[in-house]
Amino acid sequence: MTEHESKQVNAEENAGTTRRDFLKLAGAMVAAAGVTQFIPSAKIAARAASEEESKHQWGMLIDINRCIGCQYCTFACDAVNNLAEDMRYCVVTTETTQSGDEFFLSRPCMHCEEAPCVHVCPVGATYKRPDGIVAMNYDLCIGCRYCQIACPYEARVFNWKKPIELSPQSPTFGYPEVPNRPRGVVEKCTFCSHRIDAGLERGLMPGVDSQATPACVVACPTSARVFGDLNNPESPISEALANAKVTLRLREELSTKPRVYYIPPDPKTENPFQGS
Amino acid sequence: MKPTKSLLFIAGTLTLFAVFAALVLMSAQTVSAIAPAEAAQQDLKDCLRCHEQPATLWESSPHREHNVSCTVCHKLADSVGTHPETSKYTVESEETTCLACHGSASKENVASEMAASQHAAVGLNCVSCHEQHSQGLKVASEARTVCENCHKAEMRNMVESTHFAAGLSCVNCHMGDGKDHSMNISASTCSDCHTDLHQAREMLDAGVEVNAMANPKALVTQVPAEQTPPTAPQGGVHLPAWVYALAGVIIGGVAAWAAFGREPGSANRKNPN
Repeated sequence: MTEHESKQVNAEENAGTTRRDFLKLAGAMVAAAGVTQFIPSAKIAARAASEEESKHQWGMLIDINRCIGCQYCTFACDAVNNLAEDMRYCVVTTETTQSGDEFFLSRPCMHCEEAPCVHVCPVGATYKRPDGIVAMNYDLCIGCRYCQIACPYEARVFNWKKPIELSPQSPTFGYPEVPNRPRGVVEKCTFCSHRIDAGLERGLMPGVDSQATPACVVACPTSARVFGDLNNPESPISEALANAKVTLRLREELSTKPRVYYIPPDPKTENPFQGS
Repeated sequence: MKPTKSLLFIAGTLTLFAVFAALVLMSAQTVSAIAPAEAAQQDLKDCLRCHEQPATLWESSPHREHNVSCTVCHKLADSVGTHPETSKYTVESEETTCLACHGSASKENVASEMAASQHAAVGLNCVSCHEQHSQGLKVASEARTVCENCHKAEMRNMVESTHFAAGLSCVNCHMGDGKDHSMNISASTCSDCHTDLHQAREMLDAGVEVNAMANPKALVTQVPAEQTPPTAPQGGVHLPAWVYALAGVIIGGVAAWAAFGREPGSANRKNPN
């Protein structure tokens, strides 16, 4: 066998092996593609199971009639999350009823059950925790701001600048309790999940013990905000919801099912701060 | 023993006792005067390592002046566990913290004044107005006084008033000199300055300056004189009592030995000549 012939045989052998390998690979790919068809449903099933496992479902009730527009909730939120004034998670605005009466609307993130922000996030950076909190993974966020556009409540803010050293509301209204977020991510209210998680570890009950309750709820001087476990009928929020004559959620027609409930302004209730 | 020796012994012992007693008394006095301050310092040193911000606020607070340290309000949740690994310090309720000193048992009795106020009726508590670590007022960044945090409309009216021009603020009428936390206006609130309302009217009509009205002293916002706490005696070496005790025992022992120690086992005694 000449050198040339032997080379050819080797090439044929190599070609044969390649073909066999290719077929194997193709088979494996088809099988893998088949398997992946089941993954999304398996993932959803797993998520549903974990949602059932979490016995707490956190929610908030804001009584518009008790709100005096002092913005303590906003200031406490700014201090705890170390926010600049143009980056607020929680805002208080003056709104008008159809009859022309002014009232204060304080708005945190609604932590929707069907959160549009979670649906649109292309990288899974925003997700729903088993306890109902819509949270962010800042490491995954690519800053596309889809979630900011999708949110019907304008609850999300984009971090254009470098994080500030210390919020102007600190130390008067609190101290930073969470690490600063990097520039270029979308930020949002967390229901102070760091307080909830740490509190539960220590056997405290969020909504009852101030250390485990969101800063805005603790700061409210008129107790207009109530927080607690919607699953527990004895929690402060369940009792407040049961006692309230009327409750509503913002933009209910969108079926986002927010976890933040409101007691709407009652024309009979005198609130001397309204309209000021 | 010769009579001179026994006299010397008695005199020496008495002197030693006197010196020792004086030392112990002095050290005990010093310790009792600075003990709370030392405890506060120790608290601050330990807590400051992690909790810099609240400790900094506390450092220049009235609580600091009166040696009300961190652990007076914050208690360790579990006496067996160690902080911060297994046990955390709790934030106690207002009843057991603020009201323990400022409550109905105290001279100032802020608690009952507060309970009588409209503020308490809508659910306000101490920390609604006071920052807990500095005990200062929580004035929001866009407000002039702590009252304006909520009472924005009232403040807008107030700044246009003659009272504001005369240098008065909310608390001059709503709290008075006694810092009444009920925020109620008393019968004498107006008449304290306006001794004769009708006369005041005439004075105004006649173009008299507002500041020239009766009792001009009340028009000046009175800042209560700072209460200075009893300060620890300065100078000298502050050592724990046991050091003084030990020093006393050693000095006494050496002196006793020097005076009489040689007597029983002394080599000189064995061979007198």
